[in-house]
Amino acid sequence: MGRHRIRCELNEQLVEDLRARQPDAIERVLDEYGRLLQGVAFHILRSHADAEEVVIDTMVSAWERIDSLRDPAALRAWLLRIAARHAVSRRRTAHPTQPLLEATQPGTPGPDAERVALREALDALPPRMRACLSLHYYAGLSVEETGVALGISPNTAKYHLKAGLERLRTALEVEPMAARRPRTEA
Amino acid sequence: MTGDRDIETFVRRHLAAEAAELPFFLDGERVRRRLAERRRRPWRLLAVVPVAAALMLAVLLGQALLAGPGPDESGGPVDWGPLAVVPTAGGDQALNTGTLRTTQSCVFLETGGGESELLVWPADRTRWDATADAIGFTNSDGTEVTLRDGEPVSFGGGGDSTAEGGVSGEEWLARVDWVARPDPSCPMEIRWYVNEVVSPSAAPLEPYVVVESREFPGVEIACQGEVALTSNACLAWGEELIAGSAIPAGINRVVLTANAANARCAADFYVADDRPAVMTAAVACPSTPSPAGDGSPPPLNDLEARIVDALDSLGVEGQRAEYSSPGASIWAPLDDESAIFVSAYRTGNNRGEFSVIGEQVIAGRTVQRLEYTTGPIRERFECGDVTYETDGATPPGFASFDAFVAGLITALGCATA
Repeated sequence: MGRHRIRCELNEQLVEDLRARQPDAIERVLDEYGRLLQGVAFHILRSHADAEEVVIDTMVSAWERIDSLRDPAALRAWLLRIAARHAVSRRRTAHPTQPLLEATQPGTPGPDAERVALREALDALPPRMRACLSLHYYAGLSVEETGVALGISPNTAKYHLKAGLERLRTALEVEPMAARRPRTEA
Repeated sequence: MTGDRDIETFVRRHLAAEAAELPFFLDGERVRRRLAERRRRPWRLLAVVPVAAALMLAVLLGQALLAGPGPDESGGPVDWGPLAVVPTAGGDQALNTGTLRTTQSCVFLETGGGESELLVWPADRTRWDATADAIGFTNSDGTEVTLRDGEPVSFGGGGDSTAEGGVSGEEWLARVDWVARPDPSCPMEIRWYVNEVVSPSAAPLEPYVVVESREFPGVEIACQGEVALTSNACLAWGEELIAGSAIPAGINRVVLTANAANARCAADFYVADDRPAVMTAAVACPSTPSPAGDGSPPPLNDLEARIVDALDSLGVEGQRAEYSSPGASIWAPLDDESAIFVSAYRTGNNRGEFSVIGEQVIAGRTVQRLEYTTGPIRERFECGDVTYETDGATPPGFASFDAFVAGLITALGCATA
């Protein structure tokens, strides 16, 4: 509860400063949310350079449209929404960059190999599906908030989340829950 | 790595690690430079297809001339109330949905994202009823709509914003040729020009099928409307349309709408998700006819109803996942965002290649565990001339998925033990 109140107060101060055109307001929003926004943009675009551009676009939009945000407590979700939409609309020009994550010993099974496989599986997902996964599983938005952020219905967001996980599971050759149950061999 | 929870946890950790590994170089100076660059750019109107807009404008002007004087037939001054009014509408048909808000000085749309968008109305089709605080609007097909504060509503039209065009609310106010200027206190960062009003009583259309085009990589096809389409039918319709059309370059999304018993269909073409459609066109309806033919989703068939009823008796709310008549494909989302799937088909109509990897008797029925070439492992049992398959998470109240399968077999009236 206390943490929530501190977050609300911080957001209110940030919004107030943005509205007042305080010179350091942009820095403080970047300090607070820049990495989060960059992370979501990277998950959607799979490119660090493009993710940076999205964060800048998001900050520009926030600076120019801050008066349209009625509830300062919703600043985080509002920024995520702007960033996700910038990222999804930017996808046509995005060029994947050299992956940051490499297996320490290619061919060696283990956590790194699994992460490389997951990264490749994520690369293969449609951008909107990656956006749903990132907003929900990384940024922590609810299914409803994820839908609002992307301008889609909760059911469509739910579809993307479910289908996204399913595709990742299939790509990783993960056994589904049913397979954990004791089997009686034929 | 095994179940739903495990993959969710793995994905969550992986996404967090990916983000944490990214270097962060941004500072406010780069943002301020971008802001300065934008201020130097010339103002631009929202992207529209000029020919379509011109045609629509010509039609609207023609209608206005044929219809004679508008709301000021009495010759007296027109009371526009709080409306922001321009002479006539543009041709945009992008859809914008939210809640109508009318105050003493402003009329705006409150969107789901918490933004307030000032609505701009065409004088030749709009009336303000001061006694009822209501807006009367005539759609281009002649239908009359009355709107009041607090109503959910969808508008066809187009918009621009300070963020997109770099024009502040004050600048925009000064540039527009007004019939009735909005009050300066109104929200003006985002402006929406109303062209059509979708019936407020109509349920908002939502894409119920979203597929990625195989023929046109990077293009997403969404199908919505009153006519239920399967994913494959939606994909086929969209790809056929794209292949046979001179559509604008750079399209990344096509939203197809099939309405009125599959007799009226339209397509919206998008180049970016956060911008209105660049083109809207009437298009040929899908070659796959509506399963119902009456414009509404077909009612549950016997198999679907049987499964939904059985799930209901187990405390699980099932719904149609996909129209697959004469079979059934039902899913039931659970509270924790996992789900159960149950499908059924006439025995003998197997669905692709699979291996039987296990078999046991549950509630007197032989239940096989199947592994298809793709997708999850499923449990299958036969009952009469119908074969059922189910997979997914264990619903609340059951100790295991096998216990749920036992309950399902019993609820379907298939238990023999």
